[in-house]
Amino acid sequence: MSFDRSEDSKLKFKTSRKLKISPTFESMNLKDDLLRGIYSYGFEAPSAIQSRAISQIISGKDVIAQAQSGTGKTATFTIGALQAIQLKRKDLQALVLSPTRELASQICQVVCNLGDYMNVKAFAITGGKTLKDDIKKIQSNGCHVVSGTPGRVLDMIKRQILQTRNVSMLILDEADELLSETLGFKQQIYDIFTKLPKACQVVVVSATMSKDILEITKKFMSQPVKILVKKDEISLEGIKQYFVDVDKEEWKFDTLCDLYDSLTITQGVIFCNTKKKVEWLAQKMSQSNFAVVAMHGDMKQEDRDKVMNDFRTGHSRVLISTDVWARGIDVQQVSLVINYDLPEIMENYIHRIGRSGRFGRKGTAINFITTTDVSKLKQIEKYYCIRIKAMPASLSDL
Amino acid sequence: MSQKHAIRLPGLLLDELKTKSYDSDERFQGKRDYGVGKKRGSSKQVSRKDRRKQQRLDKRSSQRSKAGHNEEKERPINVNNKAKTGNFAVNEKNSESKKARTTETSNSELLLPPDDELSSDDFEEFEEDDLDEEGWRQLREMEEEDGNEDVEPSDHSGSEVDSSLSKENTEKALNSKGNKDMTIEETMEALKALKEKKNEPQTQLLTEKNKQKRDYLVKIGEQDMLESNMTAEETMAALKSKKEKKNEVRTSKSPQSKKQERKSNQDKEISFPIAPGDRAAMERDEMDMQYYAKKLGLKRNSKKLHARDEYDAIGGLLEGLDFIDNYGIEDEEYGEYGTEQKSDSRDQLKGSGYSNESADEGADEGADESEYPEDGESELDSEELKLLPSDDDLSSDDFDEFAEDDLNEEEWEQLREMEESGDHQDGVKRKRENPLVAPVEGDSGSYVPPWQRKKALETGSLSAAELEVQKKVKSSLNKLSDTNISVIISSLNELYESYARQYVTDAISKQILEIIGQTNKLLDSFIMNYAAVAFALWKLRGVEVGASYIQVTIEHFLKSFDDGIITLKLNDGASANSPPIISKESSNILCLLSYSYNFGIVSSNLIYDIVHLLVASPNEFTTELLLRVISISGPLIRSDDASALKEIISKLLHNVKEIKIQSPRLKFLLDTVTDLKNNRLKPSLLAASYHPLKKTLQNVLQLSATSSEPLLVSLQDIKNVENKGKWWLVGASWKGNMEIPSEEMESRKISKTAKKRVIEDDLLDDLPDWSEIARQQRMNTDVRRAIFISIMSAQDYMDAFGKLEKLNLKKKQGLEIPRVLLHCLSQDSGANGYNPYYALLALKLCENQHSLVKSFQFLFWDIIKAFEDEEEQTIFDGDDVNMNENMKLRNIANRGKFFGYLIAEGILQLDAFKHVSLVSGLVADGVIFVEFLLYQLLLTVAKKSESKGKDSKGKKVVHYNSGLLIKILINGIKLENRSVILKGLLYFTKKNFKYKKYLPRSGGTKALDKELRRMEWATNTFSELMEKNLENAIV
Repeated sequence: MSFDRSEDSKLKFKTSRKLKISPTFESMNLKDDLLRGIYSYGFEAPSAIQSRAISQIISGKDVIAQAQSGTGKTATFTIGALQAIQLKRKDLQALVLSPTRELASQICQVVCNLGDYMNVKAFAITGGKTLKDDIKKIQSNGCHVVSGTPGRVLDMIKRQILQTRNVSMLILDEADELLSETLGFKQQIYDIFTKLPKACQVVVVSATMSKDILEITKKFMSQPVKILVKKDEISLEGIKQYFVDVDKEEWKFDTLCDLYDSLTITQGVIFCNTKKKVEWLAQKMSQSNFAVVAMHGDMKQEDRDKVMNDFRTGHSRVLISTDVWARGIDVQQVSLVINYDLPEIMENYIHRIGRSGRFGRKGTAINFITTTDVSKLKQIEKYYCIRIKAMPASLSDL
Repeated sequence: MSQKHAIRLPGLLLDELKTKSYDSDERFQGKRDYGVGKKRGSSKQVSRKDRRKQQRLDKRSSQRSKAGHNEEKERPINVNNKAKTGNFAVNEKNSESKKARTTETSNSELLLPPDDELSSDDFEEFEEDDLDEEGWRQLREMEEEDGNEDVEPSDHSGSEVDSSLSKENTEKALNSKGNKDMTIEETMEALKALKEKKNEPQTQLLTEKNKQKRDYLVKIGEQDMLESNMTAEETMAALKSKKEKKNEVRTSKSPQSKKQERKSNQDKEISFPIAPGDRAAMERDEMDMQYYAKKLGLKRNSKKLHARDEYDAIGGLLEGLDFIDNYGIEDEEYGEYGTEQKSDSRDQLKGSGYSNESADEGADEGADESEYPEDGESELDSEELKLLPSDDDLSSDDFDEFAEDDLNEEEWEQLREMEESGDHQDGVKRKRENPLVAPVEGDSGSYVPPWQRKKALETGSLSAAELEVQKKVKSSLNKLSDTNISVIISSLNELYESYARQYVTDAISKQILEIIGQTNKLLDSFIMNYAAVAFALWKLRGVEVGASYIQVTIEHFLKSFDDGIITLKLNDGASANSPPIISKESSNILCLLSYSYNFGIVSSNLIYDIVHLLVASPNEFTTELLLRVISISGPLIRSDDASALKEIISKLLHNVKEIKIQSPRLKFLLDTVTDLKNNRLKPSLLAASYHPLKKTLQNVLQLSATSSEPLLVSLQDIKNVENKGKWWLVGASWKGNMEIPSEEMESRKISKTAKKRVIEDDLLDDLPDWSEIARQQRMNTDVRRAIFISIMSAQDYMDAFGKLEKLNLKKKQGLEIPRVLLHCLSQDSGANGYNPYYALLALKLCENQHSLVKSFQFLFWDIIKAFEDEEEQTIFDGDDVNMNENMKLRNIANRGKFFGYLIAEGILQLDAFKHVSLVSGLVADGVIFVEFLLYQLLLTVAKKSESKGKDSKGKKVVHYNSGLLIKILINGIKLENRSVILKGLLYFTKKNFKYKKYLPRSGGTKALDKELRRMEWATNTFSELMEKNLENAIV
């Protein structure tokens, strides 16, 4: 869990005013116990978003923070919330809302881990399960932080199991989804708002931020501090890009195997254009002992999450995917992206490739081209103003 | 070398032409560079090609009679350059100049298809001169391009009717090519330049034309600029100026060298993306070329051929080179101009946006001649160069022109070398070395010192088997994850069956470290898998695998750790606000090590050593590492050796105290360590557990749980592997190895203490050199020495007796034993006090060999005699002269005890006292001697005759039986001596015998009591018995 700060420093930030940047966790004046929790969680130094946003959250201002996934957003608001909490009191002080149940329980986990040394009481309150035990615990021991999905949280508030009188911070994670029209959380969130005290601090966090969402936030935020990472941030900088002339489609697989014989690869992502091909390739690679997971648009969200989790934790070393995966999630160890097929849509190239080199991790991208792909490669080069070289002979230098 | 070759080879090549190889190349290239390539009618192209091919073949066969010889010999010369493409430019140049003169080929020219006129003409002409295999192919390529790409074939057909050279035609051809593709255009430029040179001697008029042409070219360039990038025009300008100079150069100048250069350039041009099929074809070509080269006796480095005699045409062709070599000297005024132009062209090149960086560099090198000889960069660049298609031409063209102008012999050499090296690194196709050519370059005979030899061995090319192993290992380890780990392990294990173990082990260790030694943090579970692989292989394959893996890993770790420390120090001055970014490499490797420890490859020894290393200087970096170790192996460290942990903690606390400003992180570390000590580690801190994985491995691979112990190795062992040998091999490390001259200074201190200890430790030194000691003790005969050694080196008296038995002494020799024994007794007792060993030995000996009794008796008398006369005593004790008073006394006492014991045991009789003047004749020492004798005698007898029992009241009672004493007194003394001896003894006992002072002062009261009791009884009984006996005797 570390972020390369040399690369982070290159990120461009658009903020509402000149923000103080805290280069270390120590300099944020956090509680000792919280700091220990942070260290034991494995953080060493704050990421770009953390170094900017945490002190703002702590100062009590409304904050809008936007950064890509994998940059430590969750930890950002968790640390902020934990710092703001008064442990002596037993009532609910921070409320985190997220669009999915999994995310809600994940956040709860992070809160528990970071608050390991603080004896903080956090609960995940999500739909789809009974909460009898939790309710008992909340009523007897008290509860500092609740992470949940809007529906169930609202329900609990209405049933007066959650006392909102002293809630000092409301956090909306993945705000774009929470506030978008499609999921229908909007009304529930408004309802929750009405139950909260007026002085409640609001923190909105998201990977993407549209104008509409920003418009909505105006309704319930007062003079928010905005910390936005520029949208076109994914860059190809630091990523070595090569092409391999495989001549014929049939030869791609052998070339792939040969690459795995000659490179040093921690984890790799392979992109194909069709679901069918993804499945075929996954099967073929499994046959040659690869630990492979595959993912495509036809899979359910849960399955996709499972696949992603497998990949993230290193259970499998190769992820084969269609362009569904092209944006959003970052896996630390990916050192290689292979475009088994060149992307159909020009924009997807950067989404595919841009991933592997994130945060200064030097990535390598290899494009397989057949004779018919040559012009497409040219187009890509032109579109991104880059030059994709032929794969050098001395593979070990990569 | 026959005509056969001439036919066969071209045919072969032509076949290749027909197949995909460079069709695809050409097309590819064109598109890749500019993406504007015009559509070519491929069907048309093929047919035309075929036709031409046929014609060419016909022609050649007709001309072979005159040109054949030349051609064949010429071909191999170029072969060396490995150019796939020929020297088209040269071809044209030659042919054009010839055309002006000759008419004989004009008829054949007419046969050619109109738009091909130029090239095919050339071709034909050229053949007579010096066309080689390569040239042919290149030529054909060009023709094809002509044919396909020419937009206005009609124009050409119009002009080609005249057999004389038409400038305009050329220009047009150039024009069209220029529009189409920069690569070709440039080639044409180069061509033109050469052409001009050729023409120079023939006609001065041409200069005018050239100028026109140049103007035209500029225009073309301008057009180009619109389409492609602007480099073309600029280069043209540069080229133009150079061409002016060139025009004065003699025609025949350096065809060969130029060819070489051009070829290598074009080589680069085309080599760029090679499909496997093409590659194979090229390789085949090269093989052929090399073959011929070898036949001709051409070496790689010397491309020049010299005429061996005046009939050697080929050699002679190259003779002209010398002229060029010297040319620059004559042409000074131009030299300056040239440089100016060159630098110009370089600037322009730089300005051109599209040209790649490396192309720029190439141009730089070309332009800046002073840099050139020492410029090793070009070799590096050349690798990149091959990736660049056309930009290359620019630089190398430049390069080529100027080189002719003002390079001297040496620089030429450099140039050639550079080109070659460029060729060598020329991508995949070059990778496989030609087996027919001895590897001349590189180790050109200069001496390589031994340390470099080793280096070369390490870094040098790996054998095929090694490469294969590496590849397989890589393949396996790249796939590794916890789902397929058992499959991977067994596949790695199988590698050991088919390859040398050392290779496999090395490859695996190396590859694991390569994967783990990443600069960003890796997941624990990910690293764990690799530790598991090492663990399993160690179990399966034995200690060698595990040991060398650990060795390499530790070495790596120490290196990266040092690097980390250095970066930390460098950043020390930097503000605290931006802590240094340290690579996670050492952290990852340490993680691997910790897991290796968890799995049980190494013992806690090593981990403690490393922890000590980390604790020694607490800072951010070591703190992080320490935390990682604890998070992974904390519980195990604690359970393995709790005391060592305590030591570490105290050391850490001590070291931390010295740091004034403690970061919160350091405090956190201290907390964690304390938690560890108290076994209260937070579960959130602990890394992924290794237990499940280990269990699965043991189940799947059927590793026995306790088959091998962890490797007991310390950090020191690993660090010293160079000096002390491999620690895992029994006997590989030896003491003498520590003394390496370079290290002597440091190790002097250590070795001194070590030496001392060595002596103490040495078992051999514990065993005294008995024969030496025997000599010192003046054992002057072999028998005596043997006896002495037997007595002194024995473990106990039975051992000594056995040894003496084994000596198999003759009767007379056996008589020496008592003497030696007594000597030993006196020597020994002088230092150590009375040792009953000697008496027991004497007893045993006398029981076995009765004659010795006599011997002891004589010895006894000798001693007594010595005590009767002061002077004699000194003589007898001659060897004891140096004894001081104290030792002398002790000596006397011991001897007394010795004989006392012998008498008590009945070996000697009291009868021996017949010669002892007990009443008055003894000196003071003699009295002491007899006193001790009696003391020991009585004590021993009393002890023997003692019997314990209980009386009626249950009290312990000690009874003494006087029988033994009586026996000694009565039986021991002959009747005739009895009265004398008994009187003497009685007198002595009453007067002098004060046994109480000899009782041992030390020891418990109980022992004292016992002796006192015994002595009381013994002396009383003794006196009584003697008195009784005396009365009887008198009566």
